[in-house]
Formats: sequence, C-alpha cells, structure tokens
Amino acid sequence: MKSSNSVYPQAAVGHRPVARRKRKIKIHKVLIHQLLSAGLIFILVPFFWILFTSLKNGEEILRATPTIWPEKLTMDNYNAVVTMQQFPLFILNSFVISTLSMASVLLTSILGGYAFAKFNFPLKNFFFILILATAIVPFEVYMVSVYVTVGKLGFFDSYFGIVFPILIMSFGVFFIRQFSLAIPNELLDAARIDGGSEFWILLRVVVPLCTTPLMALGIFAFAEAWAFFIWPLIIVNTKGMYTIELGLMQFHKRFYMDHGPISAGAIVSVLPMLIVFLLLRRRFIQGVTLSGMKL
Amino acid sequence: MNKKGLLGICLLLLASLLFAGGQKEGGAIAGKINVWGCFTELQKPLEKAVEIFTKENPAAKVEVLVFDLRDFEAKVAATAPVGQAADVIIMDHSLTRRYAKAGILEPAPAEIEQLVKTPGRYLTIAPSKCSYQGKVVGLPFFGGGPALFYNKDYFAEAGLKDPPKTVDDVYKYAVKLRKMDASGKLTRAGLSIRLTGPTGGTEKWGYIQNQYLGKSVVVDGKKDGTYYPVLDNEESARALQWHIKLLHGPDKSDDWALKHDAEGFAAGEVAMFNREAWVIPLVKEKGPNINFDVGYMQRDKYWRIYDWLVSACVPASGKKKGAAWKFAEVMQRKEVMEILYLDSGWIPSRRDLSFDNILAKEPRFKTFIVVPPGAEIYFDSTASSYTELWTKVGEIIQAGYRDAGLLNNMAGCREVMKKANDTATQILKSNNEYGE
Amino acid sequence: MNSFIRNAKKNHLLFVLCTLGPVLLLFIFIRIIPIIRTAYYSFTNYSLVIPKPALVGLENYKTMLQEPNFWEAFKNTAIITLACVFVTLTVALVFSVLLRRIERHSPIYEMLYFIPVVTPWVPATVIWRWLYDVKFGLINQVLEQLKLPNQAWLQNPEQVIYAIILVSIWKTLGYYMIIFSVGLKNIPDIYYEASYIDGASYVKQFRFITIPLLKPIVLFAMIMASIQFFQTFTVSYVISSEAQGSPSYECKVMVWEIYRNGFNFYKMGYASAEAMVLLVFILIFILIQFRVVRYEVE
Repeated sequence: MKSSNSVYPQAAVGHRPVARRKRKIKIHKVLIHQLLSAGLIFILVPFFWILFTSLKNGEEILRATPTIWPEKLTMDNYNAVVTMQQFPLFILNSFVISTLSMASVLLTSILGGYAFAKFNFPLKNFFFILILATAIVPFEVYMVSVYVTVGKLGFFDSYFGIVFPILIMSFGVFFIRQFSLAIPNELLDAARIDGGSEFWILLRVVVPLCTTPLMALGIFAFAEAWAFFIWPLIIVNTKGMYTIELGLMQFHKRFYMDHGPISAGAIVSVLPMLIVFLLLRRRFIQGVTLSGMKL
Repeated sequence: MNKKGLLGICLLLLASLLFAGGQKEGGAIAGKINVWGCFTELQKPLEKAVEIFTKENPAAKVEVLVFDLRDFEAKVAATAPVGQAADVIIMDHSLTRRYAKAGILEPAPAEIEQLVKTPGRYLTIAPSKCSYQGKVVGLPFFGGGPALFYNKDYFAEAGLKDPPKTVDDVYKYAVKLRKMDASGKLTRAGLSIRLTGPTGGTEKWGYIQNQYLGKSVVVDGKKDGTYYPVLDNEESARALQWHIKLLHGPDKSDDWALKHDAEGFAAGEVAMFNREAWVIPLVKEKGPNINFDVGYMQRDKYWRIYDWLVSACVPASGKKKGAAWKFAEVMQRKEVMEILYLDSGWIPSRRDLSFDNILAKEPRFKTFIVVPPGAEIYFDSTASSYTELWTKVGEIIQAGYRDAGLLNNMAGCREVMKKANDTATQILKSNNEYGE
Repeated sequence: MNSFIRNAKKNHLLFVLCTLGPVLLLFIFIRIIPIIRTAYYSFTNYSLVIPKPALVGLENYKTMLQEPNFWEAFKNTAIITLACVFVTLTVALVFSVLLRRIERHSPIYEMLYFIPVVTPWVPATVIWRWLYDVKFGLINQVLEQLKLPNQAWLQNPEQVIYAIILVSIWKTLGYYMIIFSVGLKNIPDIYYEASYIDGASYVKQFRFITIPLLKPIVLFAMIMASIQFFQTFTVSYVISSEAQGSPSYECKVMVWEIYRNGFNFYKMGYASAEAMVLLVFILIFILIQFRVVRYEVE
C-alpha cells in the first residue's frame, strides 16, 4: 500500500496511535468492504442480467416468466455479433476513433486547462465560461451545422470527419484547470527563475503533476468517443467506416429489439473499454508512486 | 515507456491517421451508388437486389446502408437538404410528401411514371401515395396492413372457433378470452390495445374509428394540400369509449402491466391483437409454441382496412439518377420481393406477380394480400405535419385511456375528442395546411 | 526587475496564445460557430425541409412559453437534475473517501463501479425496464420479500421519474467516484499527518482538510453533473420506447422535446429556440454555483 511516503504505514486519510487503533481500523475496513460490496450489488445486477440474456436464445428471452440463469446456454447471440460482416473492421475503426479523440482531448485539455489556471489575460473568464457553455447545448441541436461545415471540407467517410466534433472536450479543459489551480505558484516561479521556458515548465513540471487527472480524463474521453453514435451515423456513408456501435444497430428491428444480440453486443462493447481502463489505471498508480515528490 | 514517448506516439497517431481511411468527396468510384433503407430488415432483400444489379451492370457498385427508423430520419433530415443524401432512399409515405414539398424529391422520369401507373401492377391507391401534385416521385416497394391475430389454443379453451368479424364481436371475444388471477389482476389480455407510443396509438385507435365513421383521423380538404381533422363527432367518441370499456371496469381485458403486442403474443400473454404481417415470422421464431391464425380486420358500419406504403425515391440532388432509378426497378423483381416477404413478413406492393410459392409455405399471409370484397383500403394522411399531428393527437387519446372517469361517460369522451380535434386544427393551421 | 516582469508578462501572453489559442480556435470552429447559427435559427421558422427560412422574430419563444409540453419537460428535467446531482455526488464522495482507506483494493472497486458508465445506454435501459417489470421484475420481487407493496414503476406517471432517476444514478456513480478519487489523491498526506499530531478526529479532518482542498473538484463535479443530467435523453426515451413489450409512461425531458421538435416535426427553428432557453437557464444555474462555492472558499 504505497500511497504515501509518510512514516505512518496506515491508509492516507486519518491516522491514530498504533496499538489499540489497529483492531478498530480492521473493523472499519471490514465495514467499508461490506458497504461497498452492497453497493456493488446494485451496480452489477443489471450488468449480469445483460450477460445472462446474451447467453439465452430468443424464445427464452421473451418468455412471460423470465428465467435468470439461461436454461439453454447458447453462444448464438455472440455468433451473430462476431460474425457480422466486417466486425473486426468495425472494432478497429472504433479503436482508432477513440484513441484519436482521447489523444486530442488530452492535448487540448492540458494546454487549455493550464493556461486558464495559471495565467492572466484579457477576457480570461469570458473565454472560460464560453468554453463551458458549449457543453450545455446538446450536440444534436447544432449537429446539422457541423455537418454542413465538414461537408464543405469534404471529409465524409474519413477518420478526421468522424472524430471532428470530439477533438475537444469542454469538461476536459475544466477538469485540468481545477487540478492545475492546486499547483503552487512558487514552484512555477522557481522554475522560471531557474531559466525554464514556459513550454519546458508545462512539459516537465505541470504534466507530471497532472498524471492522475490526465489518465482519468483519458479514460473518460475514450469511453465517450466509443459510445459516440449520432454523429458517425450521419457522416458515414460507407459500411467500411462504421464503428462498432453503428454495426450493432442492425439488431434494432423496426418494431422490436432483438434482445439477444443486443445484449451480446453490449458485452462486446464494454470489454475493450474495461481493458483500456485497467491499462491506464495501472499506469497512473505507477505514476503516483514513482514520482515520489507528489508536492 | 516514459511520458514523453507516450505523448509523442499520441501526436504521431493523431497526425498520421487524421487523414487516413477516407477520400474527399468528388473522387467518386466509377458507377457507385448509395442506397439507404429505413428499416434494418431491408438488409437481406437489398443484398439480393445488389446481386442482381451488379450482374446486369458489372461496372456498377452499390453501397447499401440500413437504419433503425429514428436514426434514419435524423440522417436523411441532416443530409438531404444539403444534397448529400444517398442516390436511392427508401422511405415511407409520410416522408415522401414532405420531401417532395421541400423540393428534395422531384418528379420521376417518364418511364417510371408509366411503370407506376401500369394498371394492375400495384394496388389502385398506391400511385397517389407516392406522388406529389399528381407527379410520381417514388416507386412503391412494400407495405401491408393489419389483420387480427388470434391464439387458437386460447380460443378453443373459451369454446370459440372462428375469428370475430365485427367490432362488437371482437369486444365480446376479448372479454371471454381474458384471464385473471385470484386477486382479480389480469394475467392474459383478451385484446392487446396500443397504450403507449402516441404516433402508433393514433393509428391503432383509428382502426375502430374508421369502422364507425368511414373516415380516418385527418382527411384531405377540397384543395390539394389542405386537410382537416374529423375527430369531433359521436363516432370518434364511441371509438374512444370502446377502448375505455376494455381498459376499465367489469369488461377490462387489457392492462398496462401486461406484455403487449407481438412480444406479448409470442409470450402467450395476449389472446388477440391487430397487427401487420411481420408478426408472423417473429412469432414463429420467438414463440414457437404459439398456435395462431389470422382473421380480417374487424368491421362495423364500414369496413376499412389500413395500409401503408414504403417507396424507393431518388433525391433531386443525386448525381446518378439514371442508375438509381434502375436500381429501384431491380428492387421490384420477384426474387427480391420473395426474400422481403418470407424473411420479414412485409407485403410487396406489386400485385401483378404471383407469390403462390410463398403463400403455399405460409398460408397465413393470404389474409394480408387479398382484399376481401366489400372492404376499402385507406392510408394515412399525407399532410406534411403528419408526424406532429399523429403524435399530439395520440398523446391526448392515450391520456384518455388512463382516465377511469371516462368509463360510460360519453360526454367526457366527446370532450376528449374535441380537444384532439382542436389540437389537430391548430397544428394544421400553423403549417398552412388547413382547409375543409 | 521591471524588465524581468515585463519579459515574463510577454512570455506569458505568447505562451497563452500558442497553447490556449489553437484550442480556442478549435472550440470556435467546432462548437461556437454552429451554436451561434443555432441561435440565429431560433429567430426563424427554419425547418429541415423548408430550404429558405424566414425570420419570425420572437414568435418561437412566444409559442414555447405557452406550450404545456415545454413546461412539463422543463419541470421533469429540473427534478431529475436536482435529485441526481445531489444523490450521485453525495454517494460518490462518501464512497471515494471510504475507498481511500482500503487503498489496496480500490482499483477493483473503481473498475466494477465504472462498468455501468461504459455500458451502452440502450441495452442498459432495456434491462432496467425488465427489472422494473410489475410482475416479474427483480425490484418488485425484492419488495415482496420485504412485505412492501408492489409498485407499477413504469406505468405510474409519478413513479416513472423515480425510475429514470435511479437508472441515471446507476449509470454515472462510478464516473464521479473516480473524479473524487483522483481529487482526493492530490491532497498531500502531510496535512493529515500534521493534523493527527494535533489530535484531530476523522470527522474534523474531513471537515477541515478534505472538504476545503476538494472544493475545486467538487465544484467541477457539481457543474458537470448539472449539465450532464439536464441533458438526460436516452434513458427517458428508451424506458418509454415505442418498442412493444411492457408499455410505460412517457416522461418528457428537455432534450427529448427539442429533438422531437427538430427531427420528427421538422420545426428546427422552434427546437433551436428551446435549446437557447435551455442554454441560458443552465448557464445561470452554473454561474450561481461558481459564485456560491467561491464565496465559501473565501
């Protein structure tokens, strides 16, 4: 449990005299586990239901008295999803789009967030509120205008066209700004006095200090990009550029929903994101401990 | 991997892949046409059409995309006005008129017009539903109206044999076929009524209204392009009361808590309901134990059966209209129609082809394709505010369904229908479409 | 020293120009210009199928203020937002503080709580519809076990909104837990250690160290949650979707109202006006939050 370099080996929030406290702490921890696990039931029941549904056949799913664990385990639904035409291509497209968006969001957020946090310039607050306000208007409302813009540039059916609206994220800028505010000005000034350029400070001081929020933001940006649906729907005219979410649309029939494949599709969608989550999460735990000097 | 490396890779990825994978519009591949379908079930029939088309036109390439209806509407709404829509768009008649009015669709070439007007090729009323101001704008593709599905086992259980033929009989049968548990809660619906989803709600309520009134919800005015609602009358109030009596009180045969419609029928929770032929393959797949048959739409003073039309249209802004119309024609071939029919249960618009082989495999389709003598076919209004009309009227009607106070309260029903009528009038007026 | 400060100021401005500049340009191009166009449309009768819209002044706004659907959607959305923001953030905060104490196991919990966040809306909401099913839904079965009466969750107009609130909380809890976790990690342990030496209790530490230092993140979470929940859309329309099965009551929310006016009724001008009103209202709401939190910090 290397979350702090302090002398005291206990958890980082609140400390007590070692002797008597050890047993009380243990009880506390058990209680915490119980509480969080109870919450997990609420969180995971729907997910497990989706999982079980994906393993049932069509008739069983529609039964008036639904079963919980499938009577006849079947991989037909996963088959339907995985053998859909160009399935690997769809997954690849989703990955590329999500990675591009994530990279772009991280870049723009650190640049914007740090600037807003630690610099003064005319109309600073105005621009900040302006950027935040763009997140309030639902995308669907101005989507057609963006479409016309992209159309004029001719970027249909390309990665750029698809990722265009999600190259930036207002919340990303806001998020990094809040974290950058906590960086002590003395640290930055010291670096400046030592002769460091602003860009050097950004790269060598600010970014390492923001590793944790950046990784969290990366996960969020990736997840949002993966789930992005309405825009790719409008801009893509070739099946070859479909993302996996578009590909799964084929199971939304006119008058009913094909629950089996939809559930299987949901599981297939969730897995890559959990993988990305684990990868990034492990990195930022490392980041925290290795950086040692965490302020 | 240090952070600089990670950042560098991200930037490289960003830079290199930004422009990959796509081409600027204009470098068109020779002979490629885009086709968009408004239902996901169109995938297989369209693939067949592509097969035939590319065999006959080897230099051509066809990209078929099918969508869920809601998403399809959004896509067409965004792309068509800026001329970026597909070469062939398959849409239902509520959209056809709207787009024709907006200039997105233009009159079809003469050969197509001839084709559509060929006597006997389509249902008589079909050409007018894919035309605008007398000019044909689309090729009728498929449609199909509702009939009464009923569960033969439940019928036998209740001592009934043949399907009910009149509105009153349907009511009586519904009460006989329902099932309740010990506490008086309904466990099986005698008749499944459309209780939510206002747009469809208007339509399904309209089935009964039409039999009483002989007219449907909103009718054409004298001048082309004008319409007026026919909801403020005794017959409409009676139609509402008919539903209310099945939802509240001693004859209650349906409830919000039950499963409804095709899913409910396949699960055995519904004894009867009115729906289109697509239910047949669905119930066969999801409810293989259900022993069912189909009877004609019920009648009363009038006998009117609803129908709808999906046509293949070619937007005016398309650059390959000739090829597009050719493809639309190929879509009409028997082999394509057969797949649509058997696979999804939709009725091809062409009446000059023989589908006996399909009817032999699944005789229940007959009820949908043969118009019984004495019955009249009707379509939904072609008002451009159609969606808004049907949605807002449906909201009022479905709110009425929830109101137990309307039971045996004809005055109350009349009031509800008057409100619906006024709402419809207002919508039509604000769209400059009102006229008697 | 003066020239140093002047140079530093010049460097700063240059830096801001080079970093924030391009970002701002992207925002302007991708978001702001389209939104301004939308504001313009709100004063026209722009319809996706009328090629040449005409200016109609404030007519859209007048119609909207008299339209009962608009106010109902507004009321519902406000209720959903307030309930969700309050419950989600409180629970997320408490949980992430608790997670800190079991640091070793926290990644597993965080990942599991994050699963709903990345589960696609449509299958998730469909599953919840089944859970809410009057006869066979798990929720009512649990209530039966607890000898509580069965509720017709989705059929009762008053209860649908609770169903939507619960699903929304389910979907976003993990997200805010991570945000708070990250925020908590950035509070240096030195503060806690020092206060312990001074004999502070857990609660005191929470009140005087955690909360103040977490303020910027709490502000962020409040604002982000307000915006996010005010844009509730997919939950409400899938939960009452036209796809058959068990019908349920339609709970109107703002974005649904805007979307259907724009894309189903083709009244894009009217929909734009609704969106502008939504924008102004939420903007005021979050500006108030900025003021309130800043005030407390002082």
